[in-house]
Amino acid sequence: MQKYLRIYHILLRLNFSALVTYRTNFFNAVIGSFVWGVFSMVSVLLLTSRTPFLFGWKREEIVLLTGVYSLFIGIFHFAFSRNFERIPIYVRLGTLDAMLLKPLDTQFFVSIFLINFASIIRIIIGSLVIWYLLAQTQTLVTISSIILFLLFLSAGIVLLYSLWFMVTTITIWYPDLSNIVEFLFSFSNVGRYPREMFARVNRFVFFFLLPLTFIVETPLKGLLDKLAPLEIGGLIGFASLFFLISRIFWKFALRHYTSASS
Amino acid sequence: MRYFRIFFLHFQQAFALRSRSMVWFLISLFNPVLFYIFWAGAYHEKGNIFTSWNLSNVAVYYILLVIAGSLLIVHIEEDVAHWDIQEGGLSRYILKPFPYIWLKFFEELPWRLIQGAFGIITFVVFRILLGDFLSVSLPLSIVILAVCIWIFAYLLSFFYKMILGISALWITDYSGLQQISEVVIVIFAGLLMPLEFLPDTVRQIATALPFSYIIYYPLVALQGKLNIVDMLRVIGIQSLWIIGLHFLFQLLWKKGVKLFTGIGQ
Repeated sequence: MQKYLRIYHILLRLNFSALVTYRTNFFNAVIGSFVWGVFSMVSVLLLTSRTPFLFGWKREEIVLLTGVYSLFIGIFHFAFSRNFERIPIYVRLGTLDAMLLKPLDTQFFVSIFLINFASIIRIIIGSLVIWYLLAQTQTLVTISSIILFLLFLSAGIVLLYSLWFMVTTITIWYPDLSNIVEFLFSFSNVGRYPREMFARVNRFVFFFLLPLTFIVETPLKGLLDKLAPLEIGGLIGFASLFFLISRIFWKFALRHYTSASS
Repeated sequence: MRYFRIFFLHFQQAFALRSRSMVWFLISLFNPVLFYIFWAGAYHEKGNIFTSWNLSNVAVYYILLVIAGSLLIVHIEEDVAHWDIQEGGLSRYILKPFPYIWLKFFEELPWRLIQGAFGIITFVVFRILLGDFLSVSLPLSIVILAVCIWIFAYLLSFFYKMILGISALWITDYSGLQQISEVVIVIFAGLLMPLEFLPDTVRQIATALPFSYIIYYPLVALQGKLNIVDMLRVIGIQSLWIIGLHFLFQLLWKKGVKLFTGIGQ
């Protein structure tokens, strides 16, 4: 464990050096992160502009959900997203070979190699919105609810990570499908909406989307002290299950990896 | 004939990579479906909140949006900015005896057609499943004008994205600009919701910009929400934007191509 923490620390330093070296790239990424952060807020304000109360949620609560989503997705993009974009490239160019030879867990290595510092902007935007709305609605937040929030936020990140990883693993067989990661960006948007919104859709579609409805809603309910036991079980259960499946699937996929040069 | 061959070669390539097109299409499909689920939920809970629209109109709008998103939103800008300008691939284009813009036009068109075909298939499937809920019946004159609006919308989208792409001749890394452009398009083109649902000020801005003529107006034209005079007005405005953007492209290209340095190509 200590070895992995040390490696992560080194990677943080290396990624920071890259950021300082390629400042224009970083500046552009910051603009992108800021624009999408603001967009998610603007879009939810526009969507809810006609109704102050929807799906059993007040308008401020839906905006708060988007704020938590911004914070959540900011952390996710900071730690993982860029790595998922690279996995199909490793497969196509055969550079995965070198990673497989390293005395490290390959899933760990391919998942954390690149760190996107620009996403801190989204974390800041999300945090500011949460802070502002909690203050506006005079919601009492206790230390225990903040701990619950952070705990469930981490579980949500594990769940989303596992879903992304499972889907990206498919590129071991089909490296041409590198754009599947772009689809995952859209797919994760489901977490921005209240679960109740999907209650009317086809049962199959609902169960397909169900895990994603836990990633942001459960941490928020933890913060607001509105958690039901089923909700806690749902998030923890899905996160553990999908993480396990993602590991098994990755190991299975590696058995079919043929390398680009062999 | 030569352009047809170029088109056909790129069509073969795009067809060979149809699984990639399928994924791009899924991206175009996912968000409209999500927005429709939102509005359908709101409709069932609050009754008719759309004033002049009913739920069937909203459903048709978002399903047509799947086709429009795949067919009309051109994605040539990354090719131009990243692969041609940043990576230097432009060298092999400027040596060819064809205008760069038309080579790119025939490179992009097959991808749009294949993804658009996925969209049309999806529409037909939904139409069979949902029956009259998705019915659209239009007189022939309206259909002909709507087809014109779709063709003009494609040209408008293409010239806009080409200008966005060649901005890399000045700024090299255009990704920040691209992100801003994407967000502006989502809000003002009608990808988020029909312009009628937007607050008044945002709607006024949207109608003053070219983006609503790429998505929103082609959709409402095909829904029969515009009369012949309105449609002719839309075609007129689209033509002005196309001429303006084409002129701007030529101007920027003439100045910008002198800045290009294809080192090592």
